[in-house]
Amino acid sequence: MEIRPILSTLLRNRTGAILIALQIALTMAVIINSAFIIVERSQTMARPTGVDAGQIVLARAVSVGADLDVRSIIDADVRALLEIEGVENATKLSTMPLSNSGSNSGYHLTSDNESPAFAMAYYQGDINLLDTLGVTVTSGRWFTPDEIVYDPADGEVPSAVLLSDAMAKEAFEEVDPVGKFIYTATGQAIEVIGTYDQMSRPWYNWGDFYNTGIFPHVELNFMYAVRVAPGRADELVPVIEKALADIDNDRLVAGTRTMDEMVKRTYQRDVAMNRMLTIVMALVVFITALGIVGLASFSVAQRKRQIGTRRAIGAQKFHILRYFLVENWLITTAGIVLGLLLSFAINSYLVVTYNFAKLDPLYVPLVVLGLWGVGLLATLGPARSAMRVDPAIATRNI
Amino acid sequence: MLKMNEVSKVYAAGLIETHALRSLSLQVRDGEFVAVTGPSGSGKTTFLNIGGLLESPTSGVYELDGVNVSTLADADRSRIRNEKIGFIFQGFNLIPDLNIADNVDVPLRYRRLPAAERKRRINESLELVGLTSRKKHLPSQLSGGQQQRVAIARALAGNPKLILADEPTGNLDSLMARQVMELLENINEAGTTIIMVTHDPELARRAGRNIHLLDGQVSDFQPVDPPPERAEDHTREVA
Amino acid sequence: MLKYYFRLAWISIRRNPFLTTLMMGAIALGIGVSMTTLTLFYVMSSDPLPFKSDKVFAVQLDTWGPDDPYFDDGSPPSMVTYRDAMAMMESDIPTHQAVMMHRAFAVRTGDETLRPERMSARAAYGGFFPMFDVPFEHGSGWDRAADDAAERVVVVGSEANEKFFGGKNSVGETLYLDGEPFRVIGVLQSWRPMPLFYDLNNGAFGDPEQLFIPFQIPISLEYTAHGSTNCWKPEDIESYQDFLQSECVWLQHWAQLDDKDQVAEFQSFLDGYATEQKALGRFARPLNNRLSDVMTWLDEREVVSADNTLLVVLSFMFLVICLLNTVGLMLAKFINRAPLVGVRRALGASRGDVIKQHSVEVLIVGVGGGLLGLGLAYLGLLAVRNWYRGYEYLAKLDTTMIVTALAFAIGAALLAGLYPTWRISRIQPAVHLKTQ
Repeated sequence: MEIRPILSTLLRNRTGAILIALQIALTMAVIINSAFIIVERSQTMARPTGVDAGQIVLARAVSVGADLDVRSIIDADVRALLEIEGVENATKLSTMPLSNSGSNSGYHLTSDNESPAFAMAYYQGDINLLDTLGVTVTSGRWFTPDEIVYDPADGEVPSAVLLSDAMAKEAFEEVDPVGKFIYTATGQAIEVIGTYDQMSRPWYNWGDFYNTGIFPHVELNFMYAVRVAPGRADELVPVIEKALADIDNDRLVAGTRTMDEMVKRTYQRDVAMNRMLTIVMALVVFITALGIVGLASFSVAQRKRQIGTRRAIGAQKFHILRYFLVENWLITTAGIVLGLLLSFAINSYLVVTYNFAKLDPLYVPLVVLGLWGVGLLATLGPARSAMRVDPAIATRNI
Repeated sequence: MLKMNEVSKVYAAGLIETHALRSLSLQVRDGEFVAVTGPSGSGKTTFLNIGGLLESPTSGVYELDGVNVSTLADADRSRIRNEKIGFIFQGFNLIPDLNIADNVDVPLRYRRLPAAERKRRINESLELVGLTSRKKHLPSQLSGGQQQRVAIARALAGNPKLILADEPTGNLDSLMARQVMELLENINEAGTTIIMVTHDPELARRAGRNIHLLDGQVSDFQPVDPPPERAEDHTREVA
Repeated sequence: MLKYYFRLAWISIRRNPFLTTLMMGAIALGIGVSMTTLTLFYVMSSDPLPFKSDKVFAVQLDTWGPDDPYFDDGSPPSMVTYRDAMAMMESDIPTHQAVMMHRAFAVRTGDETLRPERMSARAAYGGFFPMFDVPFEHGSGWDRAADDAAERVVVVGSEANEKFFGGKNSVGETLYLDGEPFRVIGVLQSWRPMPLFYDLNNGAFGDPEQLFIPFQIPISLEYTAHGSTNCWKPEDIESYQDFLQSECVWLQHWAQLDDKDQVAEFQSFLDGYATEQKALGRFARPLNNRLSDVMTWLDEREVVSADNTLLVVLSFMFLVICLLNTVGLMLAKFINRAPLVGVRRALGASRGDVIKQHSVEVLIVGVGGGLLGLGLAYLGLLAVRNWYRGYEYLAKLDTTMIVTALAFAIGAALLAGLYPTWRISRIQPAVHLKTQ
C-alpha cells in the first residue's frame, strides 16, 4: 500500500502529527492507569461479605447509668425488634463486616505462645447471630445459650469459638479443626466447636479478608443487627429506630441504617475515586477525539487542491478515504508506542512510591484497540469530506 | 526614487536553486509611471516583492528614496513599507471582516496616527476613489472594480511616495479596468511614483516607461513601442 | 493600539465562534478538572496551625514489641500508652502539653423530655486549648488542678452551644454526659483545624469534637477510647487497671516546644525516661522516640493519600492534553488566516504587531477558558462534596485557588498560543499575497 508517500508527507508537515501523537500518548497513559485502578477497586468492592447484606439493618441503642442489667435490656430490645412486622430475626453483636471498626487478635495452636500466631478478626454475638446474618455452619455446631458469656464478666472469657472456613484452613491446614483448641497469647484455651462458610473482616483494606471467628459473647455496646424480609430494609429503618427508642426515653438511639448504606460509606472514597477516574477517562477520550477531528479537518482543508489533483489523475474516492485513514492510523500508532512507555513509567512509579498493584499487561491490547478505534472514527468525518473534494478544483485557477 | 544595483534573488528548495533575479540593475525616478512586463517566471513578482520590501535580495544593493534598504531589520522594513509604499494587488486583498473605512484604516493604524488624523485621511482617500458613500459596507458587498478602488484608497491613505501595483486590473472587466487605470494615472500625475507589473500590453503602453524582464534580467528587447504622444510626455517630464 | 487588537480579536472570534468555543472549552475542561483535584490536594495538605505548626509536636515513644516495628518503615507507634503519657505529663519542659482521647457520649441538657444525643467529645489535659490556639467566645479552659481532680467541667464548641443553648453565653449551665452533670466553663468560637491533625484515627478531614472534658474523666469512668487500641504484648488484662498499665497504645500526646533548645531538652527527657524504663524490662526496641512537628506528622501519616496525588497527576496530564489540543486548533486557525496577515504585513505591520494582535486573541481565549474552567471546578467540587461525606469543608474554592486557577488558565493559554503566534509572525507575506 501507499504507506511510504504518506509517511514522507507526514514528516514534512510534522507539527500537527506530533501534536496528535503526543495527545494519544498521554491519553493512553491516563486511560490505562485509570482503567486499571477502576477495575482493581471495583473488584475489591465486589467481594462478598458472606452475610445477607441486603436484608440487614443495623441499630445501636445505648442505655446509660450505673448498674445496668445488660442481659435483660438486650433481651427486651431483641424481643421488641422481633415483634416488628417484617423483621425476621435480630441479634446483639459486637460489630459487622465492613463496618471499619472491630477487633483483631493473634492466636496460637499451642498454649506456650511458641507456635506461630495467626491473626483473626473476631465477632462477638448472641445466639441469633448465625440466622440473622445468614451465615451457614459447615462443620461441627453452632453454640448453645449457656456457652454465651455476658458482660460485665469479671474476667470470664468464652471458651468456644467458630472459625470461618478460610480461617480454619489457614490455621489447621488439612486437619479437621472441630474439637481442636486455639490459645490466646496468655495461654487461655478456646475450643473450636464448628466452622462457617464465610464472613469477611470489618476492615476492607487489610489482607486475609475472610480470616474471621465468632465468639459466644455479649458485651456492653448495644449494637444490633436486624434481619428483615427481602426488599424492606430501607422502609424498616425508621420503624426499627422508633421501636428501640420507645423502650426507654432516656436512651440514645443513633446510627440506624441498612447494611448496604454502611458498606457504601466504607467504600465511599473508592467509589468517589472511581467516579473521578471515569470522568477523567471519558473527558480525555472526548478531547482527544475532538482534537483529531479538528486537525484532520484542517489538514483536509489545506490539501484540497492536492486531493483534487489526485482525483483528477485517477485516484478513486476510496483511495482518498484510505489515504487519510492510514495517515491517522500511523500517527495514532506512533502515539500509542510512546504512550506504552509513559503508561508503564507512571505505573512503576506508583508501584514503587505508593504500593499500587503492577499493571496487568492484559489492558494494553484492549486500550490499543480502543485508541485505534477512536482515531479512525474521529478521522472518518474529515476523510469523508476529503473524499467529496471536486476533482475540478485542480484545474480551477484562483 | 528606487535604485537596484546588481540585485539577485535565489530561492533554494532542497537541492534545486531557482535564480529569480540575476544581477538586476535598474532605476526609477521620482514621479515616474513604470510598467514592468515579461513572461511568466521572468521575475516580475520577485522584483515587486523585493521592491516592496516583502523580501530581501540574496545579493546586491537596493536603495529606496536614497536609503539603502537591502539589509534592514524586519521592524524598519515594516515601517518603510508602512510610510513610503502602497500596495495594490490583483486579488485586491481586502480584509473581508473589516468594512471599507476599516480596511483603509489598516496602514494608518500601524503608523500609530491619532484618531482624528486617521479619520481625515480615510475620508480623503475614499473621496478620491469616489466611494465615500460605501464606508460602512463590507468588501463582499462591492463589485470587483469598487473593491480595487478601495484597495487603491488604502494604498493612498498612507500618502506613500511609491505605489506598487501587481496586475491591478487582472481580475476586472475592461470597463472597470479602464476606470482603475485612469485613477492610477491621476495619482501619478499628482506626483506619486507608480510601478505596475502587468501582462497587458495595452496597459503597459499607457505607462510612462516599460521595463521588460526576461529570466530575471532587464531585457533590451521592447515588445511594444510606446505610443508617440506618451513618449513625448515622458521625454518632456524627464527633461 | 491595544484597543485595536481587542477589536480585531473580537472580530476573529465572531468569525469562527465554533473553533473559539472549542478552544475555550478545551482549556476550561483542563482547568476545571485539574483545579478540582488541586483544590482537594491543596486543602488536604494545608497547615492546620499556620502560626505555630513548627512549635507543636506529636510525641511518639517506641514502646512496641521487640520483633517488628510498629510501622513498616521503622517509625514508632503513632499513639502512646497510658502509663507513659502520665509520666510525660509530669515533665515541666514543654510550654504546654496534653494527652488526649476521643470518645462519644450520650448528651442532653437538664430538659428530661428530650432524648439524649450521641456526641463526640475530646478528653484532654487543659494544655490542649493554649497549645492549639483554640479560640474562646466565652469563658476559658481548665487548669492542671481541675485535671488532677477530674472536675466535671466541659468546654462546648460553637455548634453544640447553638444546639443545646441556642447560642447564648452558656458558661455556668449544666450539660449531662452519659447521665453525669458537667458545668460549662467555656464556649468556643467556630474552630475547624484542617486537616484535623491531632487525632487521625477517625479521619483527617472530619469536624473537631464539640465537647471537651478533662482527660481523667473517662479514665475515672473506666472508658476506653473510640478510636484504635493496639497491643503487642501477651498480657492478662482482666481489669481496667490492668489495661491502663498494659503496653497497649491508644492515646494521642502533643507538646508545645518553642525553640530548638526546648525540643532538645524534651527529647533528652524522653530518651532518659525510655532508658530508665528499659531497666524495668520495657522499651524493648532500640531507642527511637520522636518529636514530629505538625506538618512532618501529617506528611508521615500520609494524610494526603496516594489517590489524591494520583488524581492531581492524572488531571494535569489531562490539562496537557487539552493544551496540546488548543495548540493544534489555534495553529489551524492562525495558519488559515496567513493571507490576511500577509496583507497586514505588506501594509506595514511589523512582526511585533502581528505577535501582539494574536497574543491578545490568545489572552481572550485564556481568560474565557479560565472563567469557564473556574465554573467547572466549582461544579466538580460540588460533586466531590456530594460523593464524600465529611468533605464539606475540604472541597471549597478560596481566593487563593480562584487566583491560581485564573493564572493557570491564562498561563496555559499563552503557552498554547506561543507556537502558533510565533509561526504566524514568521510567515512570508509575499507567499500569501498572490494567491486568494
